[in-house]
Amino acid sequence: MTVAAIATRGLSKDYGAERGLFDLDLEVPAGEVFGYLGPNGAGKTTTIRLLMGLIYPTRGSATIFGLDCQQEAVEVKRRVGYLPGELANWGGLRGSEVVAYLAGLRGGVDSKVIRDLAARFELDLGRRYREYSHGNKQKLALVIAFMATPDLLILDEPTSGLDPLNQQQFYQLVREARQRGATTFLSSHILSEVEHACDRVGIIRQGRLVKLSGLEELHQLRVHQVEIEFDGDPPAAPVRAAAGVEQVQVDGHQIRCTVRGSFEPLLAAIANHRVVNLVSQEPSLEDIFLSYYQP
Amino acid sequence: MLRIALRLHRTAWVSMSALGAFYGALQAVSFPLVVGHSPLDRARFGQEMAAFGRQVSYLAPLPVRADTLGGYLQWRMYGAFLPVAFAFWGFMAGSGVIRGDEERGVLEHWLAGGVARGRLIGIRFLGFLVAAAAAISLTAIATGLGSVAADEPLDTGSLALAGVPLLGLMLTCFGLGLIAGQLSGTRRGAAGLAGGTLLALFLINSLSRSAAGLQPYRVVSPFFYYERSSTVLVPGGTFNLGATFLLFVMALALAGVAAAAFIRRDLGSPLFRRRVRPGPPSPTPVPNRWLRLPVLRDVYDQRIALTAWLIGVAAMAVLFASIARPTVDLMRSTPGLQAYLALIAGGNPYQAMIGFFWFGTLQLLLAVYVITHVARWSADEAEGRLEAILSEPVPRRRVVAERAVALALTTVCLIAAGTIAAAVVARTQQIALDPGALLEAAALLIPFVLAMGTLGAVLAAFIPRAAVGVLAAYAMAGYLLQQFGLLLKWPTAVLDLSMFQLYGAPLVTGVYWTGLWAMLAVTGVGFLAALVLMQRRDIGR
Repeated sequence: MTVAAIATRGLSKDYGAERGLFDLDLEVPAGEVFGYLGPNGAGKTTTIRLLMGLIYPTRGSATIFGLDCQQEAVEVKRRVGYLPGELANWGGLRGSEVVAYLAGLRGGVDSKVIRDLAARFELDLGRRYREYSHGNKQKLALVIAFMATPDLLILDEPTSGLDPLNQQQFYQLVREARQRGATTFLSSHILSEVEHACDRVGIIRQGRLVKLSGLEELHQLRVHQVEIEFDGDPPAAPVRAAAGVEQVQVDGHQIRCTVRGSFEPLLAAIANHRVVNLVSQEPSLEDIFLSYYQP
Repeated sequence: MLRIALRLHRTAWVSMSALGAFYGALQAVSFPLVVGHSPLDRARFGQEMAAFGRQVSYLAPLPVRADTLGGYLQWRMYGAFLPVAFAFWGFMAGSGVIRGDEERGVLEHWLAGGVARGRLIGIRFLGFLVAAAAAISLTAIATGLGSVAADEPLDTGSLALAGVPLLGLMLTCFGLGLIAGQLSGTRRGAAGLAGGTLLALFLINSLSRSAAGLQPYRVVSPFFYYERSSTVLVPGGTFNLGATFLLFVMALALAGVAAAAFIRRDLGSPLFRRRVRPGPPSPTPVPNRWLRLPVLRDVYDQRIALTAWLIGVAAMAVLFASIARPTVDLMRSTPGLQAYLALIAGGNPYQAMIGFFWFGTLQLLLAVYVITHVARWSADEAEGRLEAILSEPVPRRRVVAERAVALALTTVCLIAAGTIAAAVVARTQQIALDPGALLEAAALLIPFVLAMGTLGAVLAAFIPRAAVGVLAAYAMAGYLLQQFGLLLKWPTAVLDLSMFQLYGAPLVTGVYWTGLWAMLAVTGVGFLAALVLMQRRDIGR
C-alpha cells in the first residue's frame, strides 16, 4: 500500500470564538498537486502550520509520508520544502546569505540548483533583503522552498506578489516537481490559480473542509458574472435557455447574467447579435460560497 | 493620530516612569540612612562627595552641597542618572519613530491615508513630548514623596522646575534620533548613529570639565545647556531660562530638519541613497562557511554589533583602570574617605577599586548585552525568522542550545577584552593585580551572563513580546537592589534575588560560593525550562 503524502484525521486547532480548524480529514496521495482553497481567515495557514509542526493541534493528528507531523517533525521537514504565507524579515542580510544560512541548516543542498532557480526567476541574490520588492522577496522564498528538491512542497499562497511571467515560471516549476514524482500542496484564495495548477482541490470555509473535488467539478464551481451590451435588442430568450447561464437580467440593451462552467453555450446564444461590449468578472470565493451554501 | 502616537510610546513611558520614580524615591529615602543625621556626619559626607565628584567629573557634574538632600539629588539623580537614562530613551524613541513605523509597515498606510509628512513628524514629536512630560512628572512626584518619607521634604516648585530642562534635553535627543532615522535605512542603524553622536556630545561636555581644551566645543552639546540649571539644589539652585530656552529651540530645529529630510526622501530609503551597482543580477549563493556552521552563523550575523561591543568594552576598561590609581590616591589623602577606603578595599585598594568600579560596570554592560540578545530572540519570532528556521529540519532544542552557546561564546570574547584591557592598563599604572583573583572575577561573569540569558530565554519563549521589558526591569531592579539593599539593611535572602549580588565582588572579597551555586542553578533550571517551553509552544506571528 502506498503511503499518502499528507493524511490528517480529525485535525483540529481551536483558537476559540469559532476560529481555527475543525475536524479536518484529508488525504493527498503522493505525486498529486493539491489546491487548498479558501477565503481569507478560513484556516488555510493554520492547516499548513499544523502540517509543518509549527503549532500543535487541539485534537486529531497529521502525518506526512507516514511520519507524525508533531512527533517526527524534523524527519518530516527533511522531505518538505515550505513557503510561508507571511515572509520572514531578514533585514540587512543579502539574498545569497539568507539562502546560504537556510541551506546550511538543511544540509546537502546543491548550489547549482539554487543558481538555476535564481536565474529562472531573475532574482539578484547579491542585494540586501530589505532592498527587495515584495515580488523579489516572494521569489527568494520560492527559491528556498524549491532548493532542496523536496518530496513534498507546502506552499502558502505562493504566487502572491509575483508578476504574470514569474507566475508562469512558478507553474512550470510545479509541473517539473510533479514529473519527478513530488507532491505539491498549495493554498490560495484564487479559484483560477488552483484550476491552473492543481489535480484536485479542497475548499475550506470557517475552519471546515466543505468540498473536495477534481478538476471537472471545479470547472462547475467556477462562476463568472457577465455583462453584455448589444447594438440593439438583446437576445434574452436564447441567453436564458443557454446551459449554465443563470440569474439573467435585461436592462435596455444590456444583459447581466452568471455563467457556470463553460462559456460555449452563452457565446453560441449571442453569436448572431452584434455585441458592443462584454465584461466578465470572476467573483470572489466568498461570493461563490454565498451563492452555493446560503439560501 | 495623537492617540496612536501616545499609544506607541506606552511601553517605554511606563518603563521609564517606573524607573525614574523608583530611583528617585529610593535615593531620597536612603539619603539619611547613608549620610546620617548629625551636622558633623553631613559635613564630612559633603566633603567626601566633593572629593569623589572631582574624580568622576567625566561622568557627572561636580556636586554642590551634597550634604543636603537637594544637593545630593541634584548631583546624583538630576545631574547624572536622569539625563543619561532619559536621553537614552529620547534618542531611541526618535530613531524608532518614522523609521520604525516604516519598518512595521504602518507609515505607508498613514501617508496613503492623507497625513502630510510634516504633520506626521509634528504629531510624533508632540506624542513624545506628552509621554516624556508625564514620565518626568511621575519621577518628580515619587522623589518628592520619598523626600517627605525621609523627613526632609523638597520644595515642590523646585522639583517641578527641574523637569523643564530635562524635557528640553529629551526632546533634543528625540530630534537627533529623528534626523538619524532619515539618514539611515534601518531603525537599528539610526539608533547606532544617534547613540554614537549623543555619546560624543555627552563626552565633549563631561570631559570639558577637566580638559580645558574641550571647553570651546561644549556649546554644541545639549548636556551643557541642561547643566546650566540646578533647581533641586536649595538653597543656591538656579534656573537658567536662556539655556533651557535654547534646548527647546534646538529640539524644534532638529525636528524641523528631520521633517525637511523626511519630506525630501523616498519611502524605504535613507535621504542619501547609494546608486545600485550596474551589471546583471547575481544568481550565485555565497560560499560563506560561517553561515553553514552551527553557532558561528549566529555570531556572523551579529559581527558588526559584536565588534562595536568589543571596542566599547575595551575602551571602558582602559578608562576605568586608568583612573583607579589617582582615585585611590585622592581618597587616601582625604581624611574623610580613608575609613571608607579601608572598609571597601581591604589590603589592596587599587585592585579593589578596579574590582568595584570596573567589574561592577562590566557586569552592568553584560546585562545590557544579554538584553540585546533576548531582544533578537523575540524579534526572530515576531519577524518570522524563527518560523523559517524551524521549517528546515532543525530540532527546536537545537535553536535554544545554539543561542545559548553563541551568547556564551561572544560573552567570553567581551569578558576577555574587558579583563585584558584592564590588566594591561593596570600594569602601566603599576597596579599589581592578583592573577588568580582577576581570573576568578572574569570567569564568574560567565555564569552571571548565562543565568541572565536563560532567564531571558524562558521569557522569550513564554512572553516573547514582553520579554525584553521584563528582563530589563529585573536587571535594573537587581542593580538597584545591590546598590541600596545593604544601606537599607535588607536581609541577605532579599539581596540575593539580585543577580548582581550573586556575582559578588570576587576581586575584593573572593568567590561568593552561595551566589555561584545559585547562578549555576538558575542557569540549569532556566535552560531546561527554555527547552521545554520551546518544544511545547506554538510558533508564529
